[in-house]
Amino acid sequence: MTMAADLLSCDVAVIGAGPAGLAAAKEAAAAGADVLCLDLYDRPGGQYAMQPGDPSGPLAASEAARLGRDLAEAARAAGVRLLSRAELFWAAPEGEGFLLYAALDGGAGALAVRARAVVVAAGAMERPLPFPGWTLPGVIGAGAAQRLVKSGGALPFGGKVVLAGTGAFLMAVASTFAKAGRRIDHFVERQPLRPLSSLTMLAPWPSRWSAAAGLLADLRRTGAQQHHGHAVTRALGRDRLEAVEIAPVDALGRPDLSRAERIGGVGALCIGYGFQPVIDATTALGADHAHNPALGGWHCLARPDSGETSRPGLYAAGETCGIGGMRPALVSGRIAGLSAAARVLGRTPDPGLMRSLAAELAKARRFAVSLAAHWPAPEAPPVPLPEAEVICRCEDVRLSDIRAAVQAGAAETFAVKMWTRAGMGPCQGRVCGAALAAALAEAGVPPGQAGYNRAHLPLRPVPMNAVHAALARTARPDTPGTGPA
Amino acid sequence: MSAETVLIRLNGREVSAPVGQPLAQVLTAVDPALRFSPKDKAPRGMFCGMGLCFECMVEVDGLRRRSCLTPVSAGMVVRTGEGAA
Repeated sequence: MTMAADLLSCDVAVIGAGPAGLAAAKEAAAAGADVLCLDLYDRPGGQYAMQPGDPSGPLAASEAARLGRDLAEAARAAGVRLLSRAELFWAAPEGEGFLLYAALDGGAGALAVRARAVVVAAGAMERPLPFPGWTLPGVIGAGAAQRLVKSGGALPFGGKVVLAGTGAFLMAVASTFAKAGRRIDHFVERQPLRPLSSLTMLAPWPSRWSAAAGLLADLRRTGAQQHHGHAVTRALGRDRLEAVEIAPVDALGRPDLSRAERIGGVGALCIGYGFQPVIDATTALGADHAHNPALGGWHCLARPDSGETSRPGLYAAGETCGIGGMRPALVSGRIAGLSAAARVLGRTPDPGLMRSLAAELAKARRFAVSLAAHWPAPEAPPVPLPEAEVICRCEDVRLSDIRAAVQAGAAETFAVKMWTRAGMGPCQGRVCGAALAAALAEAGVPPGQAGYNRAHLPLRPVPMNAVHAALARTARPDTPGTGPA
Repeated sequence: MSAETVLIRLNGREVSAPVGQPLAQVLTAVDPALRFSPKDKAPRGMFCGMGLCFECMVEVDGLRRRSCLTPVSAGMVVRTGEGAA
């Protein structure tokens, strides 16, 4: 089936319509640039500021949903062309500018974009860590659970709901359940209750006190039985999740399996151990990246006072530059949008404004750093894994296959992939990346040395006729990001 | 939910579903196993819920789609169980 693709041109193309992307797009357009903003999802807003499926339901009035509506409205009013259901599948430099290629509406259409500058605000995804039974239907990400409640009002699984993992985000998910009037049966947080250190952490941030109190109250409203200092050690079931095992953890985070207890009749285990930046677009374009566990692992390096990456004309904002949440995302988006517009319009951004935004960004990031230190995301799977556990879900690669490859000399992520196919499937290593890094770390290769999965055309599985149609609108693009990571 | 309900065809059977809701939500309520893994043929269901893990792939009107990103529309023809042994 042949397909025709459009070719659009713009001054600044923004990838992602979450808080960072919308803020960048609005600033760039308000400064006088012609701005196109591409986003994968149905409606602008991203994840934090996602628009609920029911516009008259209780979640539509939430602060986060309002933020998404206001940001999208402000971007449109400034003249931004917002394109939803547009998924970037390749990006390449062209002279001083860039070529972008996107699938439209899940691959039913295609688009090529010629842009003079690009802002990547691709957001974050959960950083999944395997545990025994994690591939059973019914085991989902904590973020997936939050999206389901926002979009459909409730989880579609029967049985009990267990929310587990670690971090402030778990409480944000519980809060969404509470606001939607939904019950959670068990809340399992790896960290023990630490009221004193929580108060110490929050003390310098009075603007966050009421939000923190609200989260605690919402968690109570879900009716969940709370298990602090516990971790999920197993998901059990035949063709779907039926039960969950939890155990207390010691000061080093190790579960005591001899004291495991079973929760039966479970329909959904929603589990989250933190987030990782989405870096496929910035790696495809060959920007420099670095590894820092406190920022979610591999992230794109961008100058804090301009958002510019190591590649001139390419800017990055929000979670792509390291996990920090909505507030740093908004400010870094403004910085990147102003800088990108100034570049294409041949101006210099107002130095006073940029200085004050950079100071605001530093402050917002400081809070994110203290949260990350209070709930450190585990770098390795939180429970000892059996050798037969599947690590790469796409290709059914087991821990034993990966350990054998590492033992035989595979000393980086890319080598493990070539050896075992782990990371070669449709998710392109996004889901197994953390577990592969942990297996390499166990053998003495630190994550910064193990590297990340290299970008390949297409970045996301899209129908070949969509790829052909979009690429046919331009000369053959370069592939700068596909060299050694 | 105030959404209008429409009929879709799921594995040859008529199922009613709220228009605009993610298809994965409707399919999971019927059976959380949406497909089977390539080698082990183990049942798999929606996992990331945001279009990045590809565990919720199903066939919609002849095209492979992530059901978590596909809104329900009237008359869509859906097949689950890709990769069954």
